[in-house]
Amino acid sequence: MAKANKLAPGDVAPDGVCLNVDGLPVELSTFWEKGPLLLTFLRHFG
Amino acid sequence: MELHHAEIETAGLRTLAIGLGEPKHARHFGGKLAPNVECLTDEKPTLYEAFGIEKGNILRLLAPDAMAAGARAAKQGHRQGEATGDMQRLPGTFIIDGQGIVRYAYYGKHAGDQPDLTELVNWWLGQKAAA
Repeated sequence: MAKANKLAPGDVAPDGVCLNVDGLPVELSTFWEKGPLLLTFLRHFG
Repeated sequence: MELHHAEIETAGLRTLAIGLGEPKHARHFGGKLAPNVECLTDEKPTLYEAFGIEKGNILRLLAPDAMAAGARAAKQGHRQGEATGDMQRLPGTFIIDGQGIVRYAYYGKHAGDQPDLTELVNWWLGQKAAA
């Protein structure tokens, strides 16, 4: 299994598009542009 | 994250959870378990990979510390619902500042490996005070 490139403090956060609960695309950066963000990646919904 | 919502917000942090699955799963999860946490989906999962969040092998997912974390969660009243996405994907938690710079990164070593959010919030408050 290939090792992922892990981020460390000081790195630029990757931006990308996710879908919101209505299925609309949203850019991740639009969240941190409003202020500091606590971001959690869940293993799954459930 | 939902249980710590008030202290997280008081520390000036917004909360966002990204999960694997379809928007309907995020809507159900947010409405039922985390009404104060905004939920997004990353089905590809492009962002998981961009953030360096790996899959755990099956032995790691069944390791004693992973099983103990599951037992602690069950004791606190958490129950596993219908799972979506990729059960092998590990969790990850980050603080990203308003300029898009990673200020904190935590990579879960097993399924239930999450940072202590009270300690994390206190650390963040210390960072803010020192700035």
